[in-house]
This record gives sequence, C-alpha cells and structure tokens, in this order.
Amino acid sequence: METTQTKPVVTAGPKETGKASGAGKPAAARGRRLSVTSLLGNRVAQVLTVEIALIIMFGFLSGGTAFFSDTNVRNMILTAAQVVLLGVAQAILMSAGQIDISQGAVVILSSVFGGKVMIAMSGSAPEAVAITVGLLVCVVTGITVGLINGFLVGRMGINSLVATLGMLSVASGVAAVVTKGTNIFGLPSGLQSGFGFAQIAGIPAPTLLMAVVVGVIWYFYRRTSWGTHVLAVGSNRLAASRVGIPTARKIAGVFVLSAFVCGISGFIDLARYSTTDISGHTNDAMASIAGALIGGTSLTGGGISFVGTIAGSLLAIILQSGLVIINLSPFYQTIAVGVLLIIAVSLDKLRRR
Amino acid sequence: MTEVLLIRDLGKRFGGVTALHNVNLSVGEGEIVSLLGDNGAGKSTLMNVICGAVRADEGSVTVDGEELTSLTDAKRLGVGVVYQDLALAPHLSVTENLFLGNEHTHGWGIRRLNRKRMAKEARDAIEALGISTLRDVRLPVGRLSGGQRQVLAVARAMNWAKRVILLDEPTAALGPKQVGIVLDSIRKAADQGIGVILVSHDIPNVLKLSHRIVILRHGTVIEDVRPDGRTVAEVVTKMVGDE
Repeated sequence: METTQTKPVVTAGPKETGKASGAGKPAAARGRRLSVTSLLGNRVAQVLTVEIALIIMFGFLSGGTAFFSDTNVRNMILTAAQVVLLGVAQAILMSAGQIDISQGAVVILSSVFGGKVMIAMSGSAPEAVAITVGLLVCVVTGITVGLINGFLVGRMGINSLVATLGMLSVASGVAAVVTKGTNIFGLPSGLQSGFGFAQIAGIPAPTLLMAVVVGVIWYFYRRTSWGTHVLAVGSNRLAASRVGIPTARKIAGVFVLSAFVCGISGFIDLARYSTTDISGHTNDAMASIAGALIGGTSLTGGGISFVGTIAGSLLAIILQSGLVIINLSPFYQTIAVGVLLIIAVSLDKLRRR
Repeated sequence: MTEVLLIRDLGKRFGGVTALHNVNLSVGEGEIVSLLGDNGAGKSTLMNVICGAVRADEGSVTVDGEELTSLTDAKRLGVGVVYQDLALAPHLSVTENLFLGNEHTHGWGIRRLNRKRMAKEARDAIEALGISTLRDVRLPVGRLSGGQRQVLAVARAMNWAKRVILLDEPTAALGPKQVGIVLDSIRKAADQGIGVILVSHDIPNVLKLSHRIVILRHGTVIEDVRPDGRTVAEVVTKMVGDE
C-alpha cells in the first residue's frame, strides 16, 4: 500500500499531503528518492520510528514477555481492525475537506439494529442466515446515516462538523431509545466463535476483513478517477465543479463510505464482545481524526496518506496496550496521543516557516 | 463562415439587478471575438452563462445548434474555458489538473487511470505552448508561479476545446514572452476552426488579435464591429460611455 499522493522530487519541504503541509503531493508523482534526509522528514517514517521506540520500550518495561505475548499481540491486531477502518474512512473524508464526528454513534446504532435483528431471527432462521442478515442490517444502517450526512453537507451545504455533530446526537439517541439504554445480549454464539474470535492463518478474521475493506478502498481511490475527484473537491471545490465533477455527489459518496465502514465496525463490535457498547465509542471519531492527522492527512482537504493513517491509528493501540501492561492507567494514552498530535502538527508548521 | 456559437436574446438577473438583457451574439468557426466592457458591464456573467456555469433567465445559448445550459453540456459540446480565477486544484499535479474531469482510463469493468498516457500528453501539451520552465508535470499546481498556472489553465482549455474556447483574462498574470505564447496559441486554435471568445483588458493586443470586438455596457451589447482602424482610445471611450 502506498500514499495516494507522493512528494514531488524537486521539493525539500514538508513531506505530507494537504494544505496544512504545503501544496501536497500529487498522485502522479510516484518516483521517490530514498535518503536519510527524506526519511527523517517523512511523516510515515517518523510515526513508525516512534512506534518502534514505544514497542521496544514497552517490551523492555514489561520484562520482554507480556507485551510480546501472543494474547497481547492478537488483541492489538484485533483492536486495529476497527481503529484502522474508521481512521481510513475519516482520512478520505478529510481529503475531501470534510469531517465526520458521528462515527462512534453510527458504530453503536448499526450494532444495535444489527444485533436486534440477529436476536429476532435466532429462533426462526439458521444461525448463519441470522448473522448474515445482521451484517447487512449493520451496513445498511451505516449507509442510511451516511446518505443523510451526505445530503446535509453535499446538497444543503451545512458544515460537516455541524451536520455530523447533530447526527452524533441523533444516532446515539435513537440507539438509546431502541435499547432503553441497556446493552443487548443473546446474540447467536456463532457470531463470536465463527467470526469475532476466529483466525485465518493466525490472523483474526475481523482484521482480515479490515485489510480487505481498506485494500478495496485504497484501490478505488488510487487507481480510478474517483480518488482524484475527491482530492480535487477537497483542494478547490469550485474548480472541481467547473470541470464537471458532481461535487455534491462526491461529498455525499465519502460520507456514505465513512458510514458504511462504521456499519462494518459495528458488526465487528458485536462479533468481538457478543453485545453492544451503548455507552462506549465516545472517542472513536476523535481517535480516527487524530490517527489521520498524525499520519499526515490534512484536515482541510486536498491530500491523503493511507499508510500514514494506518500508522497513526496503530500508535494509539500500541500506547494503550503498553500502558496497561506496565500498570499505568490507560487514560495516559489519550494524553500521549494528544501530545503526539500537537507535536506532529507543530513540526509541519515549523517546517513551512 | 459557419456559426459555431449562437446567443439569442439572453437575459440574466441576480435578485433585483439585471446583469444581462437582450444579448445577441454569434461566433463563427475559426473566429476570434473579444468581449470588452467596463467593470460590471456583464462580461463575466456572459462568460459564465456561455460555459454553462450560470443558467440564463431568458434566451438561449447554442453550440452547433444544440442548446447549452450546464457545465455538462459545455463539456459534451466541446467548450473549453479559462476562468479568471483559473479554476485549478492546487494540491493536484499539473497532469491531474490538465485532465481533471476528463481522465484517460483503461481496462475492462473498473476503468483504471492511465497515468502514463496522461503524463505524456501533459508534457506534449505544455511543450506545445513552449513553456520551458514547466517541465515536471508531476509538480503540484500550488508550487507553480502565477504565470505557469495561467499557462496550465490555457493548456487545459485548449486540450478540451473542440468547438469553442472561452478565455477570461488569459494573459492577466503573464510576462511579455508568455503573453506572446498564449496569443499564438489562441491564433492556432482559431486556425483549427475553433471559435474563440476572449475577455481581456489588454486592448492593444485585443485589437491586433480579434476578428470582431463586442462592447458590452450595462449588460447589453452596444457595439459589434471589426477592429480594423479602431484606436485604443476610441474603444475605451465606447466601453465607459464617456462620449
């Protein structure tokens, strides 16, 4: 996997895409010279360096066994399934100059609807059918919310922060009304054993699902004109519309994609825990925004880094896991991610001066 | 001369303000028509209506007899435009901007971008305009100079235009050498049978280049004449209405 836009070889400035870091890296510029200087200035390399340092540190502090234990590594990989999915969806929205802070609420809402349907079907339909229908309901719930967000932002011209703030409240409210504020139980047991805890070639099934979804999204973004058009909308919406790109439809499309991914994430949630998490997911959107930003995707559109977003998303997982293992409160993770986010954005600012 | 663009009884209002009224204009194949007028005369509104960015309240715009009412129509009918603000995406490369909305794709089913072909054609298009300073078509447009951006916008419009090209101040940010290159390109486009509408404040060059000059005042055409023998002072007097 590669960044959607790469650095033009003539430049020596910031390496990341987007307005926040200069003019961004055009998708056509695939050639890249590797040197120590370019690596040091490359956001992905920076984030990976921090991650390797953290892994070594946590490995050392945990006595070399706990952090690298099979269970912990598997848990981190499993957690990555949802975090990376949401991070990539958020990065694509950001590349179009948009943002979706309703992601966590959509994860909850889709898991509630999907879970309810699975429970309702459990007695009357084969388990596999109930689970498949549940997955479809999760995804359709997400897509429906995405269509509403997309209409509000793309067609009505409402600021995406405001529209998705409203949706955050509506979706979490609907989920609470439907469940009367309590988590739902009694999901088909095969959901957890057959998917949530299942492994294929030693890799958790949800993580494989995430890899496939991200791979497909990356392919379409990088290889078809869709990605270029989304970037153009984020870079200069008026210019994009003047060349005949249906900008409202492109914006609606990225919101649908984000919410579709939230639907999948909601299904993974059900499969992992065999219940919903009504009061959880409050930080999902903030985590996905932070992951994308740390990875080098600009908040103001026109640029994206897929690899950077994945690396940025993994940072929070490594921190959380490591802090728990060395017996520090996981609450320090949010502080650490915040500090790293501020450092990353500040470095970009300084470099551009 | 075959008419390629025909404007009939065009009118456009913005709220209580009449921007255009009763505008009639035609452009023939290979003809260069310059629109002149003082600020607020309606030149940009007329350009926006012709390129389909703004819908007229009255009248019609046709290209080769087919009505043009949207940007999609303009694209389909082979109308290329250089906007005053250039309409470029600063984060995208020269190539991506040149083909934006008109990308070359290949393959069956899911059409994949043909980046190699686009890069080659972008280099050819830039070379054809003789811009030696813009060799790397992978550069993001945000890193180009004002003049380079202007040339890119012209190259894009030339690339797209099959029947009509509209140029709104295409030489505004250019140095003398680049102005010459752009004016040559306009002549070449006209020689190929493309109808040209030019909006420019560079009246000396407009008088040299144009086959006809059309003067707008208060949203309507007050003069549509050949430029032969006209002086800059006469044209300016007509434009501002201080006779």
